[in-house]
Order: sequence, then C-alpha cells, then structure tokens
Amino acid sequence: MHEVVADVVVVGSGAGGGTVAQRLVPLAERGRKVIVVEQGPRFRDRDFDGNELRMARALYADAGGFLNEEGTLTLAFARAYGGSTVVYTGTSLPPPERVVRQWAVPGLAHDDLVRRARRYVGENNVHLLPDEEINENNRLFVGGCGAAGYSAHQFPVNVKGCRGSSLCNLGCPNGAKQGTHKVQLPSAEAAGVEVVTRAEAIRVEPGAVVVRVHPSEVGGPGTPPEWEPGSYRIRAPKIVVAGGAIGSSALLLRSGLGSGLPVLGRGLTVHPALILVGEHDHDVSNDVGHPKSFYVDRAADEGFLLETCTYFPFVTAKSLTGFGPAHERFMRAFPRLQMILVLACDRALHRNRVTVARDGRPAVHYAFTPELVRRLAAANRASARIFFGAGALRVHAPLADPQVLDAKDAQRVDELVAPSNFQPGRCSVSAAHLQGGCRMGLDAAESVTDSWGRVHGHPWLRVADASLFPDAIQINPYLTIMALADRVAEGVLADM
Amino acid sequence: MAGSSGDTRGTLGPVWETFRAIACVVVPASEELDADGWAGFERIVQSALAARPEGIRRRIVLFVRALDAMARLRLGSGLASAEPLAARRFLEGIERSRVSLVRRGFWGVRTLALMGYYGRPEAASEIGYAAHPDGWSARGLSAGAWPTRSGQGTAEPNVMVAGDEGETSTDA
Repeated sequence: MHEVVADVVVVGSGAGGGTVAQRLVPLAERGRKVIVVEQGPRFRDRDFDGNELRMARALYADAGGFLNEEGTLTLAFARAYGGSTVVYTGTSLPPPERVVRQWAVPGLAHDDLVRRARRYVGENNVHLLPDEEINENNRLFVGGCGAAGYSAHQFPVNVKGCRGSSLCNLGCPNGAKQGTHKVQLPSAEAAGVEVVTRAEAIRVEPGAVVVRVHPSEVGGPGTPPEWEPGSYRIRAPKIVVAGGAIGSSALLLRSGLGSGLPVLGRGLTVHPALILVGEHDHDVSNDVGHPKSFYVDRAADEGFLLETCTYFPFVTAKSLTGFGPAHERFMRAFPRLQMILVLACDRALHRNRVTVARDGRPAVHYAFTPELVRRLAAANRASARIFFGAGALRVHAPLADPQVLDAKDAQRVDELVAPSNFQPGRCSVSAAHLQGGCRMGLDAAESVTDSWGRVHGHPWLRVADASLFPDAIQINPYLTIMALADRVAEGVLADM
Repeated sequence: MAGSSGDTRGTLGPVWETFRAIACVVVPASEELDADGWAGFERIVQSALAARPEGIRRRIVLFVRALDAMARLRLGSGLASAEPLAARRFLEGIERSRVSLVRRGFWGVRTLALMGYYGRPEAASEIGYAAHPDGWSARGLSAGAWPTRSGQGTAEPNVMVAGDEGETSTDA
C-alpha cells in the first residue's frame, strides 16, 4: 500500500466537499497539503453527449437505479468530480427558516446559514432566468397554477451561458451549470489543493484515510486518475467526509464508528418523488430550454413540492406506471407531454437508514409511511389540477384509479386520486435529495456530529454534506449543503 | 419471434425467449423491431444486467422463470407461445398482485424491457424526443423567439440572487 502524507483529506467533491476544498485554500497557500479524494471520474464538457444510458452509467451509482433493500425506491446519486452538482439542474434556494428552527440543533442558526449561502449565490452566479429563456413546459406550469389556484415561484439557478440543451441531469454539455466542478474545485486546484479522482475511500481511521484508486474504464468517458491505480493510506491529522448521505454514512459505518454512535446511518430522508405527465394537443418543447424553472411550495401546508421537469425517454417510460398500449400511447405523445416532478416531504425516522452489506457496499432501508403516501396523493391531486388548468387532455397520475385521467375527470380528481391506490413496487418512486445519516445534534446518544460537523468522540473527523441534516430540508438542498460545508471548513481552519 | 437462446446471451440467455415475449407485451411496438433492432435491445439489457450485483441478476432470471411457470398454470402455455391479449391480462394481474415480492419482481423485469426499447437511440426519434447539446440553436431558434410568459399564477420569488444585497426571506 502506498503511503501519502497530507494535512487535511476531504472525501468527496460535491456541494459539500467542493465547498470545503475551496474554503481550505488559505491552508494550501501556507504550504499545507490538502487532498480531495473523489470516487468518480473527472469529466470534460465534451464527455456529456446526452446519451441517456451511457451517461447514467458513467455518472450515477448503479446507473441511477440504486435500489433500496425493500425494492420499492430507486436512488440517484452521482459520482464525479463535482459530485451531484454535475447532474442537478442548478436550483439554488436558501434553507427555509421554519425547517432550521425545527431541526433545533444547538449552535446552528438560520441567519448564519443564510449569510454563508449568500457567498455561493454570488460565486456560482445564481440568478433568475429571463422570460425569453423559459420554455413552454414551464409556461404551462405557471398558467396551470394560475388556473388551479396555486402560487408558482421561479427557481433561482446557477447557470452561465445556458444554451437550453435540457440535458442538465446527464451533465451539461456546454459547461453552463456552475456546480462545484466549475467554480469551487478549479479555484481550489489553482491554489494548490490536490484533487484525486476515481479514488474510492474504503475506510477512515484516526489520522488516515485508506483509498483505492481505480483505473479508467476502457473506452469510457472521463480522464484517467491523477494517481496510479492501487491502494493508498493518506495520513492526515484532519479528515472531512463529504460523500453524501449514503456515501458518508456507509464510510463511517465501514470504519467501525457505529459502535459509539448509535444513530449513525439512521434518520435517512430522501424526498420521495413521482414523475407525472399531462398530454396536450400541441408540442410542449419539453426537450429544449432549462428544464426546471418553476415550483410550487406546499411543504409547510400539505407536505409536498411540485417542480417542473423534463426527463429522458427511458426514465420517463420507467416512471409511468403500467405497460402495454396505454403506456405506449403516452410515450408516443412525448413532444406533447408536460411534466411535473412531485416531491413528498418525508420525516426522519429511526428505521429508515443506511447500513453496510457484507461486501462493503452501502444498503438503504426505506419504508413508506401512511402519512408520506397521503402527501404523495395530495401532490398527485394538485398536479392533476395544474395539468388540467393548463389545458391538458389527459393526465397520468400513479395514485389515481384509473391512472389515466381524461379532461372530463378534472372535477373528480379528489375522488379518483387516493392513497389507497399506492402500491409499493408498482408505482415507480425515485429520489435524488438524499439527506441524513450523520445528523447534527447535541451528543452521541442522539446525533453523529455537533453543529460544526465534528463527529462526537472523534475530534479528527468532520462531516460536510447533506448527511448532516437532522430532518428533510423540504426544498432543493444544494445551497444549504454549501452553507453547512462553509461552517465545517471554518472549523477546520480554526483547528489548524 | 426469432432468436436463439443459450449461455452466449449473457444473464438472460436461459430465459431469453420468455423475457422477449414479456417485452413485447410491455412495449407492443417492439414486435415491429427487425433483427438489428432486437440486437440493440438485447445489448442494452444484457449490458445493464452485467453491471448489476450478482444477487440481482440471479433474482431476475429466477423471477422470469417463475412468471413463465405461473403462466403455464394460468394460461396453459408459456409466455412465449401465449395469445398476446391473454399474456397482457396475465401480466396486469401480476403487476397488481397483493404480494409485494411479485409486484417488485415484475417492476424489475418491466424496467429492463422499457430500458431495452426506449434506451435505443432510434427510439428517441420514433417518439419525437429531440434534445440536443446545442439546445435552442439546434432547433434554429434563439431563446428569445418564445413569446413572453403571461405571468398568470406566478408569485414573487422568495429567493436570493447574485447581486441582491437585501434582506433574505425564505419559503417558510
């Protein structure tokens, strides 16, 4: 095993790790060695060719089809230089005050998170797209909201030079999305921080991270690893883990930290999501333009969010419940499909958790509660009203019976959509907002870290990603992750 | 339905004919695929399976076998030779099964069939999906060619944006 010496090792390079890397630049400038290890490859813009299956396989764990142990939910999380900021749509919202208040983490104030988030709003070019860049899919959502009595908000997004490929979730081919792969990591590297890609953290131990560097896949996208493939022990007095809710929890569990931290891996929340479509009598231009420009926030009142979205042929096909001629008819109407992503606000539960399988792979245990299913049903109803308000002829709603609602059913939405129609394993539920597992809190009995990401009982170790969330953030999480990571980095700097 | 089975076909080799029959029920248009189309379909499915853990691969094969056995009991023939409407009704019942394990198993097989068909590059043009890295300009449009949004239904955004130094509120 190769031995490397550093002052700080950061595991992961997404919204959390990328932010920490940049905030540790003062250390690098003082000659200290800061190393970031990232499990995924470093991609070039030209690698993002929009081929759905090829890019899903290159970018996501299990090609985006990582299944929970119950087989009822697929989880999407990216592995790349820049982590999931490579594949999100750039939506950048501050944490809701009521959520941070409900978290009740001693020493964590909403004002502080907002102040830190503001830094990244500026650095990452967060802004509202002008009217002329809003596509028809989004316009229909706004119009439908107006007709159905919902307030649509515009998403601030962090793009620069967006050409409207609509391919955000497969990596932007034009380098327009200002994730950590475009802003924080290049800046950190220019200042001397070393980033090693294709480097999988196997375990952490006091004063070291054990890493396996993998070779490039023959013919696959992305650049080769910066280090020779093989095993490394990187010795460093400070370690920051930012591998995401699943990656960080699994890494700490693999490292044997679970015995002193009884809630490690527990309290996973994911914002379970359904994709709904409404068919119009005209083309909707859902495959050009920024895909996610507007949302409806009913989190506080009804426990759900609705967001505009555009997906690709296979993901769309998979997300529509059913099969055969009815399913095919929707797919053949693809250019006329308006799409809405439904996100339910789940609550952190002890039983929903990350564990580690015998082969070291993470395993996710997640069960749907009746309350969560009620929220999904309420979101189905709201979406159906918005689709019909926008003029849709037919709506596919997974929690309706029948699942295809015609315009004549518009007044019967409340009657036709019901929680009892939800069948786990039949409805395609997915999730990309993975949170919790290393929750912040007061002590080791009820949490994994303090409000500065310090792992209880392990002063050499910090966590800096969405795994810190004690409960669901109830909005798109990236700006909150960056704000928390900013705090964690400040703590590391203070320690050094 | 043409095609041979055997170990050379990867994970699904031993049950390929049954799986193909299921795929034709899941996506009726796959009946229209020519030999090249099926070859592309099969490459996608086998490649996807090859990348999954061994346990999942084994369970998929077992489940396809189980489906075929259940079809023989229910329909009097295996899925590869069942009448299409009867096969569809049978699989609809499987999809709605009270037994979670059965629903989940079918969801996996259905997902593979949808991937094989809609994952083909040709499928995109067949269904009219035309996303392009060049976005608006690939359509001969500039973003500004679209009419201005009416604003109906919009609320004041509750956000922070670059250059905004004012007080921040959130969507509480």
